[in-house]
Amino acid sequence: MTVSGLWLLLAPATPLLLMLVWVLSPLRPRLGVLAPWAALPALLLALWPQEFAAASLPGVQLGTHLALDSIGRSLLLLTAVLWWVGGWYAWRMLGQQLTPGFALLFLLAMAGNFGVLTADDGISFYCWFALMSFAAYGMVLLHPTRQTRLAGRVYIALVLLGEVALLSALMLAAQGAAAMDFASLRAGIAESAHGELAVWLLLLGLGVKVGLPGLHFSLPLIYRAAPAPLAAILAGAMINAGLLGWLRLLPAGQVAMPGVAELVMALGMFAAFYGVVIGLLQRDPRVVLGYSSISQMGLVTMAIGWGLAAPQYWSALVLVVALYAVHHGLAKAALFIGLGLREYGPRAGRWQRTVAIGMLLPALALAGAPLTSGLLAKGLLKAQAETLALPLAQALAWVMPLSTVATTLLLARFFALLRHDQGAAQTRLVRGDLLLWGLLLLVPAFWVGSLSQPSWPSPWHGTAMWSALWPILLGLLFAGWLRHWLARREPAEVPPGDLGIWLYRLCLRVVVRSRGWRLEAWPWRISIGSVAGWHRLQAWLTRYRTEANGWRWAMMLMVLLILLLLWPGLAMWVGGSTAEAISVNLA
Amino acid sequence: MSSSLPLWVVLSSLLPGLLIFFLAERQSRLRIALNAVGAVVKLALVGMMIWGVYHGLHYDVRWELLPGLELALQADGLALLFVGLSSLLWLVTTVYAIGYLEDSPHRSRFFGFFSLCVTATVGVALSDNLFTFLLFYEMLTLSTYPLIVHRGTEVARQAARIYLGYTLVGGALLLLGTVWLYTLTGTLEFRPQGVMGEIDEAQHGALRMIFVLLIAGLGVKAALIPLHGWLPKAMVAPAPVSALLHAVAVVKAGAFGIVRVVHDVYGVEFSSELGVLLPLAVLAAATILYGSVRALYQDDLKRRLAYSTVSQVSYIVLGTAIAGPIAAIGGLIHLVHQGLMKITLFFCAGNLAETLGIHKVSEMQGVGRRMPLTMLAFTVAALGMIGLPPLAGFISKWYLGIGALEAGQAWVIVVLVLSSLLNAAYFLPILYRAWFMPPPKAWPQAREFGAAETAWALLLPSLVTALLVLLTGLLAQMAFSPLQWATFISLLEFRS
Repeated sequence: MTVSGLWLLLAPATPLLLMLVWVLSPLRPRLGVLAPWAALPALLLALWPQEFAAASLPGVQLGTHLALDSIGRSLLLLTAVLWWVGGWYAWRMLGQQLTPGFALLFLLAMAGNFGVLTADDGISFYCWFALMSFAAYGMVLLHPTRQTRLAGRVYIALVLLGEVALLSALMLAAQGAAAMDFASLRAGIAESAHGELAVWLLLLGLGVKVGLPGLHFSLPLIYRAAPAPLAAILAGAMINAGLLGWLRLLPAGQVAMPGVAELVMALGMFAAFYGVVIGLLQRDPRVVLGYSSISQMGLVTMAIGWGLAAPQYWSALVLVVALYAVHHGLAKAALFIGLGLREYGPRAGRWQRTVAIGMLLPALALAGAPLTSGLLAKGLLKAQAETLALPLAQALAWVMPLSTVATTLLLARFFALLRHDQGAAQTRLVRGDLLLWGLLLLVPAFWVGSLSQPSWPSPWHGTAMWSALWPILLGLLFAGWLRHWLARREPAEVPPGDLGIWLYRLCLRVVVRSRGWRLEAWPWRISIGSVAGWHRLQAWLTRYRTEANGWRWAMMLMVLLILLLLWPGLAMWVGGSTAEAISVNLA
Repeated sequence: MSSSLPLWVVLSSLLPGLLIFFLAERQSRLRIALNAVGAVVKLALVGMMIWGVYHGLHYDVRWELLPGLELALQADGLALLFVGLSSLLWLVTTVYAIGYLEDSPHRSRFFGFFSLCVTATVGVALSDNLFTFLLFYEMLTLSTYPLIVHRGTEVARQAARIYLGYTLVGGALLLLGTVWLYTLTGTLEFRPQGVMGEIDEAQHGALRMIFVLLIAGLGVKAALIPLHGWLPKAMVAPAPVSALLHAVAVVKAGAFGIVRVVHDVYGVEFSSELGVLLPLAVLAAATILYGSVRALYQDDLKRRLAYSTVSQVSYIVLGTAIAGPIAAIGGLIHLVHQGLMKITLFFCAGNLAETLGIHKVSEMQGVGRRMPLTMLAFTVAALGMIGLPPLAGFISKWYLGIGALEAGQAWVIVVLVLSSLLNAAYFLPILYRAWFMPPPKAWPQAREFGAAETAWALLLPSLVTALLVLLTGLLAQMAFSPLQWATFISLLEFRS
């Protein structure tokens, strides 16, 4: 292996090596302080101007390959920065609460995340992915309470589901593939008789991380459970692992899968608005951010769908998707760290105000305001949608401004939920702690500039600015009206994790009951159980009534949005396919 | 002596075992020395054989008992895979048992039968025909009985009775099948691709019956449902016995026998022609799921592990029954991988019981803080069982899955997926309890070991085997890894 290959290996290996410090008992309590610095080699690797040779370790696992392409590099830069900054703030904010045991899991998850980005074959990707997913449990459960345990359980259940789906997909892919590198696996899926099944399994297995609708339940829960600086890592860095998996493994550039593609586009579009609707009915700002992630990832999922429909656009789409992921990750992480600065910082009004104002910047970026990374990311996504020669995709170009309206609305709700009396009685944070965060706020502009390709249309001219601005203004207007209207009637809350929580309760009841059958003293249980059960039923009905109220709100908003969406979309779709049919007939 | 190495491998545990019976209870140093010398010598001899076979040498010892009935030992790839595992784990378990049984009564009896048990296992592995196999197989049954009954309690005696009942009936079925087979084929030899080359088609019905008899006889030890009933009961035995029983000796001998019958008596190709492999695969799949479901409901840690064994050993049978070269590799490596993982789990269960008096899953709250190294080993092995990369269990699962797809039996993937989920469902709550819940005020029955969390003789073996679980998975492609050996064996069976 060459020196440059070794360097590549160092990124995921450093956190693992740092774990050895645990053995030295005098240094053990300091592991929490040292942990974030394990991200430095990865950071250097991402910034190093030189190309890296791929590295191979044929004896490890079933043959391990590492490489760093431009997609991996841009995501590695984001990931390394966020692990370092998030870890550093975690230490500043939580101090001694970061036990050595936690630090070990933190390092494992970090290694997994870097490994995912540098992996160049399916098996090691899967391996690092599993390491990251399971070790992140430690971040969710840093403070074990009823709430975090629930989040942890839902999270682990979904992780397991994702693991087995991903493994099955890899098996299907490997069966037809000549080797285990990504290109061969993609070819294997493209040629396999079970290709479509493998694609679905990939969408399912990695969709758990991305928050695909139906698999999204854990995101809001774990963002609420993990302390804010750690949530920044979860929401900014780890969420992209699933996306990267899609970019690496889906055979989108090779075969068109129109059936799958349309469903994926529909799922993405649904997520983009479902996330906003449920998010609007939340009361915890962290949960709102979770639903915002679901919604943002919905837009990216839509783009994946375009790629599955039109292979010729895939290579361009990949770059746009990666750029969007970097932009979203940075903005989300900045928002979460801002929440942490308010929560763990002094109660003084000035501090709280400063942070809140600072948070406007990433929020505007998420909405795609002019002069932010969001404008470029969203503009490119929209431009891509318009170039696609697909009726549905063109209709979807309509979705973008609408989604901006929705995002603005959601972020307005987020700011409205920031409590005024926040802050800690005793704080370790000083003014200097704002510095790093300030840098994080400013970085996106440079970054995105360095990523842009000459072939991309420039988003800096007037029309683009205006087309980015009007949905935001509309959203703000709508938000103002909504706030005025809501001042009189606060809508009920949909539980964070929405349908997933109901599913979870259902499963729990089934499991508890089946356990009950096995107990030998079951008549006793029933007599006790029936009394307790009656009270439970009553409590459940009461809760159901308030929650049902929330759902009614959700439904109303959803129908409204769908109507808004479908009006231009449906017209264009029907028109487009009719035109296509006519042209086919004429030919 | 070089060609008689297999005999010396058998004797290296037989002789110390026989000598130990004559030692007085208090001669513990001599006993330890005999055990250690035996275990190290055996490991060295096996190492030599592996080196030799790798360089093309053949080892073969024959001794004609009756005309046509030979006591025959040899060392082919499959034998070495199993012998290597047994001799390695014997050494580790001996260290563990010495620590575990310190100051407890009847140690000479225990270690004597322990050595005999290993002798029988090694004999099973090295036998070159069904007759020799049968002899050692029965010897295994009889030498394990005193180990299960060792504690002498009513529960132990009952468990041992049940064990004996099951295995003696199994042995009888196996004998019946063997004799019947001999009348048809005139040979009991093991040969790659089987001995059925020129059998008349009219005999196929009888051969199917014989297959059922042989598998039923072997299936008792391999704990295939519905013949698994003895295994969860037998876990009353002391921890080193359970460890050896579940990882190497009894259960594995059954699974190994099934591999031998399918590969070297019937031959994979002929068996699939007979149509006996699909039912076997379905039985194995049912066992995998049934064992996991039952494990979910056990609060007793060792019982949970026992049901897990029922489930996991059937991976080996499943891999064999899928009838494809890659699935066969998956089954064969699981022979080793399951052994390493399960022995670690039982060692750790023993550590918990000996150090803190913990026998139940519900008592394991926060035990990770009190015994971090033990629980680390447990965690590695448990995650390996679920099949997470880069651990050993993942490699087995991967080869089984790919092999099943290659053989056109995609349903196996569903079984593997369900089994992984079930494994997670009964292992992850244990890990959660141990690492994420606060410890209780007092442990059920705590003993102090100074600065260390427990006796070194107990801790070290668990750490060594846990490390092996990691390394066999992580370095699966290195020379001499179980995967490489299994590939080598599979190539011999499936060459065309």
